[in-house]
Amino acid sequence: MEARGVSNTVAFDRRQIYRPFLERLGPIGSPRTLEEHDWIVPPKHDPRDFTQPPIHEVFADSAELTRGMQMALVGGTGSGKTTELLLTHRLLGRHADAVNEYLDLAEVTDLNEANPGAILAAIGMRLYARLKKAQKQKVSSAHEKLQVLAFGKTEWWRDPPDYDDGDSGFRVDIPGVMKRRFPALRREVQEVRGLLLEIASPLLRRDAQITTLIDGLDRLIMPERFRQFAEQDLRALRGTQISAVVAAPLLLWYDKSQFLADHFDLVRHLPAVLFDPEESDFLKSVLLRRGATELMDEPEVTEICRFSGGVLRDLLTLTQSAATSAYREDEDRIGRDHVRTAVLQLGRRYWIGLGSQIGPIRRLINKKEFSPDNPAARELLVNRQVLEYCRRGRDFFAVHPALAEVLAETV
Amino acid sequence: MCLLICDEAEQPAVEADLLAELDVQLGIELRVVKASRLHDADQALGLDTPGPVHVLHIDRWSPRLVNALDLHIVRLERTGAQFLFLASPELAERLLKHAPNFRNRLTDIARIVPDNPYGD
Repeated sequence: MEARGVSNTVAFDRRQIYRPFLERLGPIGSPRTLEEHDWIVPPKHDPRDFTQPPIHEVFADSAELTRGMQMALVGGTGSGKTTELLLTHRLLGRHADAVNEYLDLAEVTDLNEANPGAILAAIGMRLYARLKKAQKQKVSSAHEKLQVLAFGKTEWWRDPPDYDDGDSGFRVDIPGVMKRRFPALRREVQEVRGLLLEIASPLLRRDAQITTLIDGLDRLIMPERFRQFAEQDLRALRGTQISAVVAAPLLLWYDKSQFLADHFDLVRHLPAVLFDPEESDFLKSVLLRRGATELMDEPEVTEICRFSGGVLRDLLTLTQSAATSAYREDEDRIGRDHVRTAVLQLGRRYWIGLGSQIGPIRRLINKKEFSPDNPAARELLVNRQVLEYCRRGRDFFAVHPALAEVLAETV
Repeated sequence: MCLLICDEAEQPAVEADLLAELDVQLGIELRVVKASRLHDADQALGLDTPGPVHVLHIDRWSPRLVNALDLHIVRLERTGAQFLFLASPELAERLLKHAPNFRNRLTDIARIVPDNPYGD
């Protein structure tokens, strides 16, 4: 009888535990996937004031009660702005006549190359897709023109265009006695606005409540580009009865010019979540919703929450790294050492490139001194090396706990 | 999504190791895309060439590329592919400073040092 060879098959396939867990944590899921699986934990209150309703409820109520409202959500990278927009989107769906469009602009256009008018054009194209066939036929010409304005076109000319025909004259600017509060709308922005209104007319005639949730503009780290879109596109949207909720760059929160207050009807700030198990179990709930207890115990969950600094993306990244580390070591569960490895890995990510910024970081750790008024400090905030928190209406700053841990080790 | 940092002199060897390892482990042949030879953002981000793994060698400073990486990092994530970025310590530091969205979504940053020839 032939001897049976030794099988290479693993008796207990740990991939079957780790893979689905990592998929639940993974950032590759589209917003729709997050909603479909109910992986989002809605906050119970405003993060800056626990007596106030959560941001998504305030945004949804405002869009429902005052059509045409413009709202801004400010927060650092990974603070959960997209989640808030998705929650607002979900809540707005409670009314049958609501037309709600979540739009990640970075998916639609290259923001580096896009010009004012791009947001209006993107909204117009989305609304067109929501129309019924008969409605589409009525506004198809506006849609075609909008597409040309958005993406340009190629024409074949027999002769090259003559730009130097001498008709254009010389431009002379005569200063007035008053300074405009807002710059004038550009001609092409006005044109796109007209087409957008034509496309939206079948919906607006039905008295529909239209809300666009615009994500991606917060990735424009330099606020000047954001300002340009706000001054042109969002201002052109005024008076159209189309509401907008926009994710805005963190730096505008610290801007002394009151830009957000001037341009938006409602502004909400999303600071990092305070790790305080006695006051809130929000961070823990996020991990539990993704099935953390299948692979780790309470102390590991608590450690991950603590070292995430309350940055939601870091919470998931730490869990992911700890799980990968446990899998690599052939362990069936995530242990303390795996969490520690993940914390140091995250801390080193924040540590690299710190260079001369180490001074303000040390001052913050030792003397609790930090002011977001200078550019170097703002850079630390944008890079999440320093996090902004709010406790009972009082703002304060702290070094990201994972970075602080790495710094403590290097002393 | 991982940023690999190594000295310029070591980069050809690291590239070769990476490609050989990916070939052996995953059975995929891929090429390293060099930042200096790119034409547009989509090419830089590997969005015009499907595949499970992309290696982008950032061999020169390009504000355009850095902006593209920073603004489109979510698009990269959503492709579900693995991205490896290779850069010298100087370029990596500049990149991390100028691209906070990119930094925030990196799963790891690893410094590659050459093997000690004496085996210590």
